[in-house]
Amino acid sequence: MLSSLIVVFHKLNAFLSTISGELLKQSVELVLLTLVGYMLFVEWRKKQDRELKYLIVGFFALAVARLIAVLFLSQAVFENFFKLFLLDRFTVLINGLEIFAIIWIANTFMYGISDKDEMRKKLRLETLILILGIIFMEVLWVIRLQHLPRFGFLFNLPFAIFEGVKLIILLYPVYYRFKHKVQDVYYNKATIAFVVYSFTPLFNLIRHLFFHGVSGKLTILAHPFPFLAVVLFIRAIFLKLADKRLIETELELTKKKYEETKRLTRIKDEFVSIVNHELRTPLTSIKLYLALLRDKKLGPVTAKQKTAIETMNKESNRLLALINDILDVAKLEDKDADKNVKLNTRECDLHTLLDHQAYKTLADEKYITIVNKIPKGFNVQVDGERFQQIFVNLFSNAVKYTPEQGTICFGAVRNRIFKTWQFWIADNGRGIAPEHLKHIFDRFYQADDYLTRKEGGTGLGLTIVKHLVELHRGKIEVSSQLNKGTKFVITLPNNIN
Amino acid sequence: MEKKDNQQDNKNTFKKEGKAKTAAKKTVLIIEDQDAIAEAERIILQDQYNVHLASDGLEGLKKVRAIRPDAVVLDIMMPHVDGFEVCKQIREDPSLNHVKIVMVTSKNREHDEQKGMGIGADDYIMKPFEPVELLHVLQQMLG
Repeated sequence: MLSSLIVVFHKLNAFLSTISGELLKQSVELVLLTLVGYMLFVEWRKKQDRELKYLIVGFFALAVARLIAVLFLSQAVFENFFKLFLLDRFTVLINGLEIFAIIWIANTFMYGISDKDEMRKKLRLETLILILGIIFMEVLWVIRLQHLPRFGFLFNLPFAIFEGVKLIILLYPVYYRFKHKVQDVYYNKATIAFVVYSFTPLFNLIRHLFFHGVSGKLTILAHPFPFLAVVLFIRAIFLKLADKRLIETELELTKKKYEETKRLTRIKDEFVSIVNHELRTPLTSIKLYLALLRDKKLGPVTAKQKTAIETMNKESNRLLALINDILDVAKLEDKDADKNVKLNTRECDLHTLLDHQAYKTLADEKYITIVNKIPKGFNVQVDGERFQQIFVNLFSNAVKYTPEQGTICFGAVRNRIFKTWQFWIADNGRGIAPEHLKHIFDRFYQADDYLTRKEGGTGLGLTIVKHLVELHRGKIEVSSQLNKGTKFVITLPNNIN
Repeated sequence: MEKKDNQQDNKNTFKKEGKAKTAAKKTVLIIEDQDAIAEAERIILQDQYNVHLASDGLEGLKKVRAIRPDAVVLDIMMPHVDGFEVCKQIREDPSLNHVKIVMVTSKNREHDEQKGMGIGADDYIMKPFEPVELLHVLQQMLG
């Protein structure tokens, strides 16, 4: 079986070494290269891509070289074998075209992984050198045909030069790929194709340098590689096109997602703007006129009217708090919160910052005892206004859940090892059930609907606290036991910048 | 009858006092496109200042040049010419150097505060505000 296969292989090789075999091989390569060129051209028409354009030039040039070879070989095969010398006359043109093609293909394969402008300059320079080289080779060829003996080193020198140039051009992308350590399926496949292609000029070079251009074995060995290389190039290009399509699809999807995000951001901005302006403006009128009524600037007020004004004022304050909370959440939950919400950080004495009469008034209604355990002169780097906002939210929450005559305690400690400090606030209120605990930082989450209705609250306070703490590059933790109390601990770095 | 007479006397006294005060009162121009807010601001300020109203930026600029008030209470969000532009034009006019500007806004505070102060506003008040806040800001500026 094996011996019969070897026989077939030898016969095939022997056939390929004949002019008819060469014609068949060149014809198949011509068809394949034309197909690749056409495929690239179709792709290029969809998207004007410089890399594709260079590949088209390269593959069509290779196809034209094969076409010229096929034309003259077919003339030789079908009309007169002695006309073969005509092909010999076109060797410079065919080899020139092939070198031109591989220059363009090789540079295009390096184009994706190199400086584009530099590569374009290199391509132009190499093409110019090639044109000059072809003129020089044509002159050399004429001299060779007229003055040199048929078999000799100098007679084969032009062939050797062609093959040597081809070898250098084909191996340069391989060197380039390893130099830049490119890890890409497309480049790996293309590299293999270049290596495979390079075997033919290598064998031909050896043949022309050492065997006067005549070596049956080397001729046979050199045959299959260009064909194989073309197949490998096609595979690499298919991969590249498929990859490109994938990238294009992904790009399209990303574009759509981006547009959608942009649309949603616009809607959100409009919403924030409406909430901000359209709700605050009438609320300003309401609050101003309530104040004018309260201050009797619009006439005398009866006791009943006074109570009604106070209720309206209280409710408008609640409404204002809700609007402020919604705006804060919208700003803080934005992806660009870091850029949009600027912290005005400065050194603050935490004890003084949180020792405010307004908070005490909140607790006074329920006779709650407040214990400030923050050491005096406890200096920290925070945005004072924002940290007060954090505190007000946690404190009013504690007041809400602490029964009358309960205790709210808060303090701060420093951790010198981790260069952080902690603020904590604890109450001895009703506590939060474990199933609610993990959701308390969620928007609009209310652990106790009844209490919320009774005491007020938007369900946004703790969400704002969490975002503000994160904006300070810190974290917040909560622990609670039912009917025993709740404790919030905020950990912040000493230097938030 | 007696009550009515008393009321009449009070009114006369108030008018006389009002006239006496008018001479010393400083002038404040309110530039605000929301009529209800402008009217409320007028009521708040009328006891202590001579108050003039303008319902948009263009009218406001005309009145600033005509009245030459001591202070302008300037809304930011207004159609055609906004508060920032009005503030800028007042500051560009050397003859209006003495005019103090209080910006009133309901927009994002961090940004507008910086922008307003950057183009020459003297102070800033955010909607909604208490009457006492507006009075306090003006008193701080005008003495």
